[in-house]
Amino acid sequence: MYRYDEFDETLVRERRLQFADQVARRLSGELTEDQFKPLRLMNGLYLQLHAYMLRVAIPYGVLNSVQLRALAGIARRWDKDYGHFTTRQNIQFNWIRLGDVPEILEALAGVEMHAMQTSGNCIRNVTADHFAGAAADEFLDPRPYAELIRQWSTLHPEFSFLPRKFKIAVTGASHDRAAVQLHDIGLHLKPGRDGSPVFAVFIGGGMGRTPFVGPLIRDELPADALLVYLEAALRVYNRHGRRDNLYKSRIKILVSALGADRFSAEVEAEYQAMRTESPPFPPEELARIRHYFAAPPFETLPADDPEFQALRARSAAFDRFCRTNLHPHQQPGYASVTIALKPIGGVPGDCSAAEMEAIATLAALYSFDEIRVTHEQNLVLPHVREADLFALWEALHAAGLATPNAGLISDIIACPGLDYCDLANARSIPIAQAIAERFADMDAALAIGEVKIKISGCINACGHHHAGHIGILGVDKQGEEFYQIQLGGRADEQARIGTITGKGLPGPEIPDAIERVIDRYLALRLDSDERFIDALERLGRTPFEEALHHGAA
Amino acid sequence: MKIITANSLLTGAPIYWAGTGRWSAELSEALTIDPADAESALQQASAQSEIAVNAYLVAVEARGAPVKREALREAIRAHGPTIRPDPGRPDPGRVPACLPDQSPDQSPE
Amino acid sequence: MAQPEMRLLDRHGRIVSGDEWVGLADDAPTAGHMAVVVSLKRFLAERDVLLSRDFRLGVRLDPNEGPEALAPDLERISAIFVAFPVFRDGRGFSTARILRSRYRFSGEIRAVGDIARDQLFFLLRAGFDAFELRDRDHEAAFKWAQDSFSVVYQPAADHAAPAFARRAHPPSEGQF
Ligand code: SF4
Repeated sequence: MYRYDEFDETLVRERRLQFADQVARRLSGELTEDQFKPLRLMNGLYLQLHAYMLRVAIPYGVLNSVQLRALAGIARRWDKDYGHFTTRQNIQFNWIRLGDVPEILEALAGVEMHAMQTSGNCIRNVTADHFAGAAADEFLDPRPYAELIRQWSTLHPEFSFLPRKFKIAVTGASHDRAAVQLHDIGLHLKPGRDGSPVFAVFIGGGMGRTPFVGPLIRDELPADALLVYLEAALRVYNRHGRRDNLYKSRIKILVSALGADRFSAEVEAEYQAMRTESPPFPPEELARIRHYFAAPPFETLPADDPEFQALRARSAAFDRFCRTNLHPHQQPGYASVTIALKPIGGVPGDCSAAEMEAIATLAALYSFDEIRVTHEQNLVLPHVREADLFALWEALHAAGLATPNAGLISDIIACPGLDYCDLANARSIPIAQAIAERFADMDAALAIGEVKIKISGCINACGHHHAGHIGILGVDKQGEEFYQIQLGGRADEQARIGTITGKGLPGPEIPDAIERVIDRYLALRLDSDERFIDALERLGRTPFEEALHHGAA
Repeated sequence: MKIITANSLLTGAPIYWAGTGRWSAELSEALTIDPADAESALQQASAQSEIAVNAYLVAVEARGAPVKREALREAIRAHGPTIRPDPGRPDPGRVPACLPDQSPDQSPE
Repeated sequence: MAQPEMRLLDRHGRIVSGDEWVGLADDAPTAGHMAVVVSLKRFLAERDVLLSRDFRLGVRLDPNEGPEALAPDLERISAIFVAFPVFRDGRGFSTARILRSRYRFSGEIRAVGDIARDQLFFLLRAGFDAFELRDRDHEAAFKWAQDSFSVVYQPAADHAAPAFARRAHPPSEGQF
């Protein structure tokens, strides 16, 4: 993975000192709260219901064991022994004191981490496929480009006061696990006509109050022209994005107002002009960055480790885990392992310091020291030898981290909601817990197959409810929590916004309602290979909506 | 009646206006204020920007529990998240009076 | 043109005393001034007259006004005043960068309006070389902004060498 050199290190140190100075000025009374607030927001520090919340950037979701250990240390020393992994592949600490933040940033800087640009109207921390560099269906590792974007977007001279926040996601695989069509800019790296790498560029997707699937704005953008093109797109947005209305200031509103064709023509004109103005980005720099993402020293192994297969045959529990929590690797004899942070009754995405430390140890032992954070609020060990899977599973099991539900109905995304979040209308986490408890039987859940439930506590959609096969949005109805249900959303290469069904339900009715929908699906599916989302698309949502709102089928 | 609440500048924790110059971490110690005096009290409280940030008024019933719209949010602020007992404030087992039929560690089932 | 509580600083953070520029309302006479600043609207309406006079000419651009309309005349315009009516409105950054990198404008680009120390670092990089600053302690604020970062990642109008240019590159492994 990428390692800081003296330049990266210096910049993070200088930013830390700058923020420490801002905190000191606030504590001494030199800065008022009104002056301080935008400054702390530029460094990921929010004031939530119970305390300050610090959001730490995990660029494109990649961590090593030393970094994960440092996060555990922060949780122990300055928080209440846990952290929360988010849909932005970041981690949030919920119980932070203002005066501790400079020291926390120092601890982070010691392991090449920071909280820069995790909030505010700037280009946010870039996200990527969590199986990047590992997935069997990958054309090219997107991480060097993600790192290039990280550097380019850091303290950008032109784009640090945008109309609104700006999120970029990148994937290099045929199956989209980074939800690129639901970002301000989504980048899909693929082979061009002559085999050289090109990007399909989607612009203007997003969730929130006005959800859109991002249209394809530029196909076959030569990969080495990426930064110029991004600069052109950001310039069009910076100049023409709306600034008069907070709710209309995202780039998706500009793209939909102009129409994809006109927007694309404007970006293209700017791009062509820029190409003659600025020196192209030196290819040596991409080569330098790419160097850090060279494949780890894999062994040459047979594709199907016979002992691994034998162990699966012997242990039903291990086999159960392998069916859901493994992902095919590009290197024969290896697999990527999902550590679902979704124990039944737990808080989606929460991870205790002890768990982080256990995972760090296992990453060092079994996965070339690498850990990934997924936007589905799980962790991944990307490169595990099949021959090591059993030992890894046993260790995960002992640590309570082997819940075999990755991708199943209890693998739920939930934002912090009203239990923590100052903006929330309703709680998300208890709803996720109640649904997971309803589907706690793992064999039954496996028989149901892939269902993605996503829950947000308000219209900001941090819990991606628009993109859930079943999406749940918390609303406030005269002081009572109600939940709007959406059906049919998806975040993959066939991205779609779910359709709102009927009126909201009170929280206690949600598990029954979901169960009725699932029963209806089980009754209607062609066979066990037809996933929930496939059945929904084949049949339309009417039968499911009926089940949802009209009691037992 | 009204009370004034804010977040502590230092810790970010919810605090409650307990009368001239005093803030308390306990909702039960919040001073109940006659609505007619609320705005001027809020101004007084907001002036203490070195202790408290984001001060605002909350409507409460006679015995001091927040009502209606604010009830759930204020209960969660006062007693901690409803979903895990560990990070709650002292006495996490206490059932917030204003949380209708839900105790802090129960899911909405 | 600086407001009473504002101070005008040059690109080195020095306070400029005796600002020669006079901002004119759209109907104010130009006579008797050495250096005048007019709105874009007035410039476009009176272009030929304004360019033929012997005062130095500046044009003020509001956030919604790009520099494109000035392109043919930039050689005869001495200064562009880019307005930042509110702190968070960053359109002026694009204006300055386009002026410097697309039109190679070499006159003064002045940031006017709601300018605080926290924008200075970005303004300097985007190509501004004069600032109406509202911080009380102007010089300290400028120094703070200037000294904050010694490393930048992007090439920009301040010509600071980006990190990639300062790095000793390992031998290139060929293209992509
Ligand atoms: S969706 Fe709303 S409630 Fe949930 S974390 Fe985002 S802002 Fe908070």
